[in-house]
Amino acid sequence: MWKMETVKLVRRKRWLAIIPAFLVASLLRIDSISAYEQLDVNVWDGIFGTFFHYVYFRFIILLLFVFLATDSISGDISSKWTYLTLSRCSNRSQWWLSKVASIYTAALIYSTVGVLIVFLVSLTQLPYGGTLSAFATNPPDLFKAIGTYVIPKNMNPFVLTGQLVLYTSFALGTFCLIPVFLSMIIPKTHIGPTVSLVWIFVSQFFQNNHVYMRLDIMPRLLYGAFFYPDALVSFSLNSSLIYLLIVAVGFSCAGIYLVRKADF
Amino acid sequence: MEEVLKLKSIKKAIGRKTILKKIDLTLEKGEILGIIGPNGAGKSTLLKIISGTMVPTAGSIEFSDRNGIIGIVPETPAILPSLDGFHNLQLLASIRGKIGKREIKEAMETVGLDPSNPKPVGSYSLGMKQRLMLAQSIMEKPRLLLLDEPTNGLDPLGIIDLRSLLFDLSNQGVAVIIASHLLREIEVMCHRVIIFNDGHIIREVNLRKGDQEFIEIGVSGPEDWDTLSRWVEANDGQIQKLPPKDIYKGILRTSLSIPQLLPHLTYLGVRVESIQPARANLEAAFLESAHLKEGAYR
Repeated sequence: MWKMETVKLVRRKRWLAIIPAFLVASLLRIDSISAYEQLDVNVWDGIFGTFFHYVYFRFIILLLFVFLATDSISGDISSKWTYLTLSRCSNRSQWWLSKVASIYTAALIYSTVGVLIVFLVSLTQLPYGGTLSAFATNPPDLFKAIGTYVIPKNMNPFVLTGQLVLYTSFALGTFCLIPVFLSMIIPKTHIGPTVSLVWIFVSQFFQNNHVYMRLDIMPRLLYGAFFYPDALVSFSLNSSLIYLLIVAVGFSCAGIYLVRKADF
Repeated sequence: MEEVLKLKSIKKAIGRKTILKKIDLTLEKGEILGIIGPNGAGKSTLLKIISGTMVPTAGSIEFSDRNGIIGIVPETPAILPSLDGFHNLQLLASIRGKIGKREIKEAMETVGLDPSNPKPVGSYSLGMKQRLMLAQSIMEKPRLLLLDEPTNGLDPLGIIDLRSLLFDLSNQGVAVIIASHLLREIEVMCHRVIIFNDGHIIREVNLRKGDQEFIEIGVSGPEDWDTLSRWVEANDGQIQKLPPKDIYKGILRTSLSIPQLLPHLTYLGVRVESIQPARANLEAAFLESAHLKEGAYR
């Protein structure tokens, strides 16, 4: 069931939108750091620069995934697919948990493909390096002043990229559970993108509010948030993982409860 | 006969609106049951409740075999357009994991599709998509088949194939429920028909061939009709008047054939205007059961 749901989610033409989206995001980011000729940057700055930047992350990476994955239930209802799958499941909880698992799997595929695209684009624009650049580990004062990521010198870029993919997949999957859950209550295909877009703008609006920022899931979705030493509100990786885990378990359980009574 | 399905006092309300009002229904092994009714009568809701995609507000559904498989053909074909037909079915079959490639291929061939056709189903015609839906519904050898408007998009040959497939399945003991607007198709395919309106069953028509003949007869006037009715009553027959009121036409149920009946009518002096063999006339029963509102049947 999980495999079937994943194939159904991923094998759609709209997933081709990943290519131009990550292409544009990476080129914009590379262009902004290439403007400074004296900077010591390499291919890894293309990846971390793109994925650690909250604007690119929220408005391109997150929103695109929401567009690709959150009609998992509402799309099934409108296409009558639930008719064929629900009657084949031994129980409704199994059906919902398969949806949850397929969203996380799709997020993993999405993040991996995204990182690969950004890496390939960066290879054509920036020099390759086996280690992190000086810009990533010790950025110039000008960049420190306007706020940039600082990665510990001893970090292996391959390991860090792996962690980035895993964390981003977990964060994207967890966030998407919320609109997918809501689409069981309001089965409209636009519910996911609308909720997410409003959420992004509300988070932007309250970005200087410490209490809101601590409670909101949005800042915790960005893996780069742990590498901004001068951020207004800082979180530890562990606290964010626990936060996301609670949200994931909470919505999975709420979904099990709701799906027992829902009509499709 | 063995009962496959039993619905007891099924009720479905969405918000303040009651869609189904206390539905009681049983279905026997090998029986083909038709459901007809106007739009919004609750036909699709009933099929969704039986299939498990909707939860009834009250009542119970009993299947004779707890592990019995239900096959479903939805009103519009549900497909993954980027995959070919075989892989669409393979994905669906992977949910239960009870059948392999061989059974999937057999089901596709049964409905007239080529399992090796590599074309994505997005490029299929509506009729081919409908055949694919039929294939997915029968591939796991269901004990109960639910068909919601199964003739949608099928060409005449497709409809004939569907009919023959349903009779084959019925002979193998598969119970079938068909919801359709096409009275003629329901009449030809089904053993029994329930007429649905406003959330409840308003009439049940048995279309199984019995010992008695169904004859559609029209006579000249009210006196002829009265004479005919009295004679039918005295001879253990039944006659059902068809609308409208001022036309004296009805369905006669008798043990006599038309050649045997005609001398009796001549002897009684009944002026016969038309006479022909008929099965229980579904259209007439439907019209008689429908409510006339503002000059139109609802």
